[in-house]
Amino acid sequence: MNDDELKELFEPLRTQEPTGEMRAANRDAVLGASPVTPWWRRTVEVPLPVALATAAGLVIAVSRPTALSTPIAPAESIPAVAPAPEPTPIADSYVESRQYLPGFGVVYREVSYQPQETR
Amino acid sequence: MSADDAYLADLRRAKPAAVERLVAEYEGPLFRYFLAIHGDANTAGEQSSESFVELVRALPKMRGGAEQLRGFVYAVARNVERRRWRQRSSDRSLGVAAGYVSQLPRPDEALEQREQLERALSALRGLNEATREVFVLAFVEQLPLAEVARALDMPLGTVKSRIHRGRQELKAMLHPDETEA
Repeated sequence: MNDDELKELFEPLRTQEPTGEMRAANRDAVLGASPVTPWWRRTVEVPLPVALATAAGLVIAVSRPTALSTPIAPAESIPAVAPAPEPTPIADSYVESRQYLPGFGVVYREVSYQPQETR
Repeated sequence: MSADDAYLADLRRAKPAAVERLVAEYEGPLFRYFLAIHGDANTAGEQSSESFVELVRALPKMRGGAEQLRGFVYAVARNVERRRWRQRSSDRSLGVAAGYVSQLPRPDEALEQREQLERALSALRGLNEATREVFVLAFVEQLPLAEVARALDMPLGTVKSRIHRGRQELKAMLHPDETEA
């Protein structure tokens, strides 16, 4: 059979179209469908200025950690609870430093507690 | 980025306008593909919807550019049909095909059209599944053979050999006297 005979044979099939109900069903079906992407491959759209500002803030925060470090409490002497027989009172040094990331909060916290002799 | 690539990017994000365009472009071809494969119009309609849902979900995973889209659409359709085929026997579909033909309009002027459609469906039913889908794409959807090969993910030579074999089978089926001579 040549191509023309085959085209003629299948012509009635070529003119078949889905009904209106079928077309509506197709559209209803795709309305409820959404791409299945694993959560680790999902992306969100962020405006470029926001992305740049966030990146710059992150770089600054990481490259200048000491500028954000804040010694919190000065050394305070701890009063003796009971009169001690020791002749030399002890004053402790309590230092806490924190690093902040803008918009995130505390990312690093260091506490040092060192007993010192005051004499 | 070309218009086709932008369309594909929108499809991958399931943007409504792009999905609507996909449905509008392929609902006819997919319906005819399924109808030609098994002859059941209602099932063909349901399978078309099923194919579109799978397409929307699977498009983000599609490899290649916009030129691969048609092949991807038919690949999804073939998967949908394979699932149906596993669920039903082909003999049962034959009966349904006859049922579809009988549902067509019955006025006298439509009689000839019904007979021709029945003849086309019967001819396709006489071919094996692999040859049938090649014939559907090549002679019903009239795709170039290279595109048929791409759509069915098979070498061009295989498409040509199936068409050659199918021609002989159809000739034997429709013109048995000429074949014997």
